[in-house]
Amino acid sequence: MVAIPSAFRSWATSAVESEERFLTRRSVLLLASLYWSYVTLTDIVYHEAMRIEIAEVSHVTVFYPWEHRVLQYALMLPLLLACYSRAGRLGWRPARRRVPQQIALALGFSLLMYWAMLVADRILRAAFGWPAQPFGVYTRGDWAVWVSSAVTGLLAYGFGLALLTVVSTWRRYHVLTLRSSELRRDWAGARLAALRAQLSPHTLFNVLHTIQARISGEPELAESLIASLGDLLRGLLEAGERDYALLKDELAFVELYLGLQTGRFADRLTVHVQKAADLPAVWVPSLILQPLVENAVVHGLADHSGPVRIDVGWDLSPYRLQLRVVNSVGPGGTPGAGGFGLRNVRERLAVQFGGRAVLSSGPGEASTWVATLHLPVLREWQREAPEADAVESA
Amino acid sequence: MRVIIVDDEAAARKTLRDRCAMEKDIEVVGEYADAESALAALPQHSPDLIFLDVKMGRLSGMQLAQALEPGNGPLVVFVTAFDRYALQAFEVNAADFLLKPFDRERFRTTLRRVRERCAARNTASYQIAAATLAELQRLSQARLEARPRLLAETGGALHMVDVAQVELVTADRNYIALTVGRESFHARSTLIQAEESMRSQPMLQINRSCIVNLNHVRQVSRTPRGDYVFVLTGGTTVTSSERFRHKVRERIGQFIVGGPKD
Repeated sequence: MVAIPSAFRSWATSAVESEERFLTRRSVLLLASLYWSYVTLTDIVYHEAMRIEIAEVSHVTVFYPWEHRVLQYALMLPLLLACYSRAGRLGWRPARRRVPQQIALALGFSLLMYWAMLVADRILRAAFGWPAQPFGVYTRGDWAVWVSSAVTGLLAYGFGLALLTVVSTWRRYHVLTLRSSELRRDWAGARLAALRAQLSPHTLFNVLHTIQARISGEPELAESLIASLGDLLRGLLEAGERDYALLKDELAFVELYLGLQTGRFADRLTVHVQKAADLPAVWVPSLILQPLVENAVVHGLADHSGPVRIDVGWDLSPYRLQLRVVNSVGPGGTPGAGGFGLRNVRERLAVQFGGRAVLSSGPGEASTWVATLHLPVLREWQREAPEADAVESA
Repeated sequence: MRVIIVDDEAAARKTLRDRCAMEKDIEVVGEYADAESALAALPQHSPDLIFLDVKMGRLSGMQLAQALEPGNGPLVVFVTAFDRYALQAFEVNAADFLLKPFDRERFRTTLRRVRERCAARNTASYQIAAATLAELQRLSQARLEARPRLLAETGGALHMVDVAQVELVTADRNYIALTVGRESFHARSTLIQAEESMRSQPMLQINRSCIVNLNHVRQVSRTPRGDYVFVLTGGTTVTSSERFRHKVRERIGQFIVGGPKD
């Protein structure tokens, strides 16, 4: 590979976001060179065609032969690269200063086109003594040729510059879109973590208060509450580190939480959690049940002083998992329908599953309140998965 | 049973002492705040059981347990707040471990295990070995289950994918693609999040949009230009980019023989 002049660092650093390279040096070099070869080729084809046509009517050599043009363009290539690099570094803002500078650069380049041709002519003459016959039927004198090649050069230069700008802008757009979507995802992830850390401090302080009250009278109970609280916090820490947990672990956690609450309201609260020891390995979002259960405890106990029963159950079909939290409500009690907990759960489901999981809640039979989670069945993927599925559905 | 208690916290020692005082057959013969002095005092007391805190000053409880004579020395019960030491505790042949905070019931369960162990000490009990094995299996299963999973989709179905099976993570606009063997999943996530979830695995970013699980690399070679080519266990091939080349070299360069010099 050709050594790349350090001037070529420019393009990316230039464009808009400094420090950032949307086009690598190598790709600028490659693009500009390819473009210039294309320009060379079209120029040669055009002039050869003209030359042949003119040869039909006259024997005077009007145009330089193609060897001259190749050399001319080859001589101009380093200059072109240097100019593009400079242009890239200059950029376009502020327009009042940059646009004239860009134009000056373009003009400077194009005016050198004819000069490069003269140099090419000299070189070819010196090296090969060729072309043998002098030609120089310049119909309107040197200056006209100068102008015409300057115009050609200017067009080519401008088009190339536009091409590079477009490519660089497109790259920048692509990179920035990617980055912004990544940021969006990161934000969603952070929000998920925040939603998960959600055991209400209120509950925690109440449990501590219960323990304190039992220390002198029922030290044994206080001790076992402390041990359970330890387990609960450990479970919370573990769950905080991951997005998904096994359903049996989730149910065990909820049981622990409800156990602590029964410790607080031993006279009023009865709890039943459906056993899940022999449950197949099904995964659920970690700590998804806890807010529902907390909600059930709070609203079950509210507004009356009678007994409350809380049932946590699950129902697994091949494609759907239902998790149910049912709490009895007091006579004439108006259960809180919303609450921070439920909103929190809904938001998590939306982030993790889009529309594939829902939470419904409403009054159930015989003065109860039911919150139901409908989730897709999440199993561990295994290499033999297709066969296993076939056996299951059979 | 002669017991010594080793914990750097006085309150923790008192809790254990009080518990032991309630048991008729247990006598606390010594209490130490660090592992060094406990180790020095061992010959003098010749205890049957040590309650041992894991995290202490210079010498940890784990190191003290390792220093004990296997088979002949005292039984060890670790008393710790972290359950991640459970597997390690089995490596040093601990009789049990107690998670702080504990209540009477759990303390008694531990003592029951210790007594069983004590009784079976010289009669090489098959049951004890079987129980230990079962416990070990349970723990390693728990560790396996505790490994994070990624929620990913393939062919319209959602699956939990074990991070240890993921060979390659590729960024793909709004999604990431996970390569597991010949299978490909996509998940709504970013490379950064995926890298975070896959912390337990040796991940290496090899270009702007790829991170590779080094546990699944079957072969690495280099192109004439100096880029690294990874062949994964599932047969997928990925190539490092110029920008990440030196990071790749830092991480795995020592394992590669030959190829171009940089």
